Amino acid sequence: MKKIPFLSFFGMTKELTALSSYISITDDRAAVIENCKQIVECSEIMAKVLTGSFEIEIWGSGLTMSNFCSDSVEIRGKIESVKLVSRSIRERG
Amino acid sequence: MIFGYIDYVITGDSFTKFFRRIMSDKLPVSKMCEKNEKLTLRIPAEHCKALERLCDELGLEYTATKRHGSFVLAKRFLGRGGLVIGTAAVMLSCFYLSNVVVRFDILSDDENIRKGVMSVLKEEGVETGTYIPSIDLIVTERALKQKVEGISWAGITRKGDTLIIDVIETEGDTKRESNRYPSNLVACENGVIEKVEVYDGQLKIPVGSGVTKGDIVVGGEIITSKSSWIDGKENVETKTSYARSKGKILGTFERTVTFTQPFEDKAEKTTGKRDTKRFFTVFDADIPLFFSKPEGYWKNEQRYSPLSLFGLEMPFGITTCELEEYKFSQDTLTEQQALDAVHEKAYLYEENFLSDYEIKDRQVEDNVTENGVTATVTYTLYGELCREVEFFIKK
Repeated sequence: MKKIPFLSFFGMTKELTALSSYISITDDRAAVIENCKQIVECSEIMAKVLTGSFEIEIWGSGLTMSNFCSDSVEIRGKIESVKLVSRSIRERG
Repeated sequence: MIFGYIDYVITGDSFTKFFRRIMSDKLPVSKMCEKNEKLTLRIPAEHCKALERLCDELGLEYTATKRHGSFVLAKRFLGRGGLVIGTAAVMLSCFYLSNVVVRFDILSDDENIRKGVMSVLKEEGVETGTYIPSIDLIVTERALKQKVEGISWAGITRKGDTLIIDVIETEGDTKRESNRYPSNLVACENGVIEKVEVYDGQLKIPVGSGVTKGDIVVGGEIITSKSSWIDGKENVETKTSYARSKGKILGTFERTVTFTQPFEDKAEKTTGKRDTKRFFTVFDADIPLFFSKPEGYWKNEQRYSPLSLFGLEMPFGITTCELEEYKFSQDTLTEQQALDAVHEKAYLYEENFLSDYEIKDRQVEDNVTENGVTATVTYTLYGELCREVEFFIKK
């Protein structure tokens, strides 16, 4: 049986105070990322943003980015893949 | 966002700082995409200054490529003063006209009531051109109820620029006799009295008697005499009093009526040709929306469709006239057709003028002459024989 990942006290607090990042994907047409800290890159094939704990890469074609309200971005276009890299791993590496 | 959007192309080596500042300054950019060291984005017009300041600060070059939305539309309008003034004038006049009284619709057929209502409304300051929100409907309704004769209730409702005044006419209000002249009941037909109901006055001719036109059947001059014997001598005291004669004198009488129908008859016939004409109606003025005036005789059926703006009825609209052409034609009737026509006339006469009487008998005598047909109808009727005739008292 697979082990359920342990959620730390810090993780639980983040979740309860809605500080986690929320990613909503609508088919392959749009993705909304909430609690986004920074936009890193925004090209036609790849959009990269930083959230509290992750670096989120969205790959596809004809991508455009919009930020209509604070700390949220919307990526529209044909989405092919979404890659999440933990920031702690990235920083260590 | 209400002023529209502007598309920008920003040129630079790196946009990392730019992206960071967009997030921290909360600039609502959309459709942002980096390609060949050029970043294209769209931003609401009200934030364009902030974006330009940011680009200047970061040393990025920017170009506004396209404008979208109401911002552009407004800018286009600004170049055309007449259009702006015209639109504003139309909007203002629409607003003004939808808030002033333009028409009154009084729901009564009685001309006196309509005049009375209009006069009271004028007294209360409600006229064509009065600002509707300033009218106190309750006070006006109360004034109508108190001052207009012949109504028991009044209600005012507003429909666009029209004030609809609904009234309930007073019913059962018996007409009081204003003059007090004495009167007789005088026979207006030659006949025989069959039934008498006298409410006031003195019956002069008894039931079963014949009367001729002009006979006084019930007299308004009532003479009473009182005799007494004083010292073996009769003393007659006569007293005259006057009354308005009231009563029903029913009897049977004959009435002869002659109807004629010439063989040459002028009749109105529709040709089957139809036409529609439209007018642009502003207040009470009809502006024709056609050039050629129809020639000949036409029957007209008219309807008015007011234009409405945002549900408010405007004081202008389209009046449509449905026309149907007709012509007068000289017809020559056969003897049978003329007889049918003359009998139809007799039937219409009975329906219109003899509905108050009971027709006991009807004798028809048809007579065909060179020019037409004559029907002499002798009716034996049962009904009112007398009418009231006033008389003056000698002083």
